[in-house]
Amino acid sequence: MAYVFRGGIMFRDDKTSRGEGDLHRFEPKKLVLYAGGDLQVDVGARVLRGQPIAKGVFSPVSGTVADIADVPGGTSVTVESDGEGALFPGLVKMHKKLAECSTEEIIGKIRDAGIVGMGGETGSVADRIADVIGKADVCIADCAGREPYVTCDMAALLERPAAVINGLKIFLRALGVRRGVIAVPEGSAAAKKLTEMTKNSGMISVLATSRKYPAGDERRLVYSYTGRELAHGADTVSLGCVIFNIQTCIAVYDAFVSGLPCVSRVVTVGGDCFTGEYNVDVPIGTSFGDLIDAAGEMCAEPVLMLNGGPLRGIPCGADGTVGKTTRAILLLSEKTAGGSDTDISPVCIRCGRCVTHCPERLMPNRIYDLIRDGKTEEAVAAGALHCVGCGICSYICPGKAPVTELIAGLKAKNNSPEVTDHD
Amino acid sequence: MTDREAMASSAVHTPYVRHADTVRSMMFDVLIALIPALIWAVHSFGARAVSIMAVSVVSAVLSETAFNFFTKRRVTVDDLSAVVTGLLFSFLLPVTSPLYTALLGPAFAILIVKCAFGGIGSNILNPALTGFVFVKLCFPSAVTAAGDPLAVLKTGELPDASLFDMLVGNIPGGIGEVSTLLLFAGGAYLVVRGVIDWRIPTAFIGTVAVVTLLFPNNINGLSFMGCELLSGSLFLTAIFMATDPVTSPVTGIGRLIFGAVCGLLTLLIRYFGFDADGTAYAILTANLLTGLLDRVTAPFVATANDDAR
Repeated sequence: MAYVFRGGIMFRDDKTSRGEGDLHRFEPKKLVLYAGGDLQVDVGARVLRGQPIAKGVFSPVSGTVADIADVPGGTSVTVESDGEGALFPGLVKMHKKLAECSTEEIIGKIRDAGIVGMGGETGSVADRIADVIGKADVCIADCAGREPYVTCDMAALLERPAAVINGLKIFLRALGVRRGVIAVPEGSAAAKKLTEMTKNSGMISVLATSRKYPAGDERRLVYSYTGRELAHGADTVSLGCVIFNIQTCIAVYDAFVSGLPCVSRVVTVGGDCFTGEYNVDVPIGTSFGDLIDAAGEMCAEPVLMLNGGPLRGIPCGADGTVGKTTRAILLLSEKTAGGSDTDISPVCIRCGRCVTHCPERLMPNRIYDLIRDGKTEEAVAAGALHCVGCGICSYICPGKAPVTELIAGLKAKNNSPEVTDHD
Repeated sequence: MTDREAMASSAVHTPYVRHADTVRSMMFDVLIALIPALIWAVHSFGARAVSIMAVSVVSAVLSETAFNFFTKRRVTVDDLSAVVTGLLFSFLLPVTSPLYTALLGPAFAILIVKCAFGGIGSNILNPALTGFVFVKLCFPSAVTAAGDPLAVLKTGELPDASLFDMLVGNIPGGIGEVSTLLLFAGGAYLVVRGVIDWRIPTAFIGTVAVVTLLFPNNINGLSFMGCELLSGSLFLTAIFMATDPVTSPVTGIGRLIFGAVCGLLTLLIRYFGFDADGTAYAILTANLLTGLLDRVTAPFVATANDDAR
C-alpha cells in the first residue's frame, strides 16, 4: 500500500470514469504533423508507417504527402493516408536480449524513436535517462492520474499490461535500477490484474495509490512511494525516484521489439457531452475534429473544448491535432463548464475548504486575499510559488473565487517552474 | 518538442469546472438544519414566535437590500446569508421580547457588523450574535427570559426543570435555543453535508462539559454539567454561530483551539461574570482571535529548501 498524501479530492469514481471500457482504434484519412525543420520529404512523396519525415517526426500511416506549409515555429506536413498501414522497411528492432544491451544502446534506441514523456511532461525521455543514471533507486511507471474524465492511461494499461511491464524492465536496465513500480489507483481493475501478473517478479511490483486527485502529480507520486515530501522545486530523483508515464513505457517497448517509433497514442475523448467514456488509439497528427466525430453521438451541446483534463487542460479548437503529449479532448456542456463564469460575483467566505484540500499545505484563501490586495511579496512568503496548479481551490470554492487563476498569474510573473503533472 | 507543444505546456493551467456547492446552497443547508428547531419554537411558543422570526428575517433582508441599493452595490440577499442571520438572531430572543428588538437587532447586525465591514466574507464579528448583544445591552430586561435555568443555576441552586425537559426544550429561553436535541440533529445534518466542521462545536461543548464536571459549584457534578450543557444557548451558538465560516479559523487545529477558547470564555462568564449565559460574548471575543489562530496554525511552513532556486 502506498502512503496517502495530504489534501486532494475524491472525484466521481464509477463505471464510466475508470478507463475500463473498450479501447477503440481510429485512423483518419488525413493527418497533420508538425516539424521543427529539415524536412526529409517533398510534396507528393509516398511515405510509409514509421518513416522519418523530419528529426524526431515520423509518419504514423502509409500514404502521400499532400501539403507542406510554414507555420509559426516550424513546418506542418499534411499526410493523406491510403489505409494500408504499410510499414517502413528501414525500421530496426533491437536484436539482442535485454540483459545483453548496454545503457547507451537502449538510450540510442529511445532517442531514435523520438519518444517524449507522454504524460504531458514533453521532455526527451532519452535525455531524462541520461540525466538520472546512477541517482535513482526506483523507476515508477505512472498510471495514477485521477483527473475527471481523463482515463487514457488506464485504458492503455489495461489493453497492454505486458508491454508496460516489459517497457518498465527496459527502463530498469537502462537506469541500472533494480526496483520498478507501477502506480495504479487502489481498487482498480488494473491494480488487481497487475498484482497478479507481477507476483512472481522480483523487480516489478504494484503501488496502489490513493484514488484522490492529484495522485498522478509527481510530488504526490513520490510521496505515495517514499512517504517523504519532495523539497520545493526539487527533482524527483532527489528522493531516488524517476517517473515515466505508462504510455511512455509502451512506446519504449514498441521501439525496442519492432523498431516502430512513437507514432500513435491513446487519447480520451470525453466530457459530459458524451454519455460514456471513449478511449481511442490514434495516430499522432489526427485532428481533434476527426477524433470527436469518431467518438459518436453527443448528448449535450458543448460550450467548451479542452485539450487535457477539466482542471489542468487548456481551451482548444477542433482544428488542433493530437501530439505526443495530448492526453484528452474534452467537450463540456453549459451545466459543467458554465460554473466557471456564473453571474455570482466571486467572494471568499473563509469556509476553509481550499485549506483542507490543498495538497501543498497552503492557505489558498489567504494567498488569494493577499494577491487581491496587491501584497505580492507577502503572498510569496505565504507559499504562493509552491502552488502546483492542481486547481482544487478554485474547483471547491463555494464563493467561486478564482483562486488558482490569481496564483497562476502571480507564478507567471515570478517565472516559477511548472510542476509536471503526469496525469 | 515543437514550439506549438511548448506553447501548450507553458500555458496557464486553470480549472474549467466548479463544485456544485455555492454560498447560497450552503446557507440553504443551514436553513434546512434550523427547521426542526423552528417547528419546535412554533409548537412551544405559538404565533408570537412566528412574528418574532418573521420580523427579524424581514429586517435583516431589508437592511441588506437597502444598504446595497443606497451604496449602489449589487443586491446580495439572494445568497440567503441575510435570511440566516435574521433567523439565527430571532432564535436567541425569548418569546416575550418586544417586536422592536427583533427589528433593531438584525438591522444593527447587517448594517453595522456586516455591510459596513465590506459585506459577506469581510466581517470580523458574527452578525447575529453582535446584533443580539446590541439589543441585550440596550434593553437587558426585554430580551431576558424569565426563569431561565442558567440564571437559577447562577444563584447556586438546581433549576426545577428536569434534564429531559432541557433536552427536548420544555424550558424558558430563546425561542430557538431551547430544543437541544433538535439543534443537535440540525448540526449533525450540517456536518454530514460538509457545511460546518465538527471540530468547533465539539471542542466548544466538550470544554464546557469537562470543566463543569470538574468544577460543579457545590452542586452534584453530573446534574450541574447537564444543566450547563442543555439549558441556555450553548448548542445553538456552538453549532450555528461559532461555526460561521467568515469569523472562525480555517485550519483544523485553529478550529479546535477556537472552540476550546469559546468554551473557556463562556465558563469564565458563567462562573464569574454578570451574564448567566455568556456564549455570545465568548464567541465574539474568540472571533477576534481568528486571524491570529489562522496565522499560528498555518499548515505551510517555509523551509530552508525554498531558497534553493
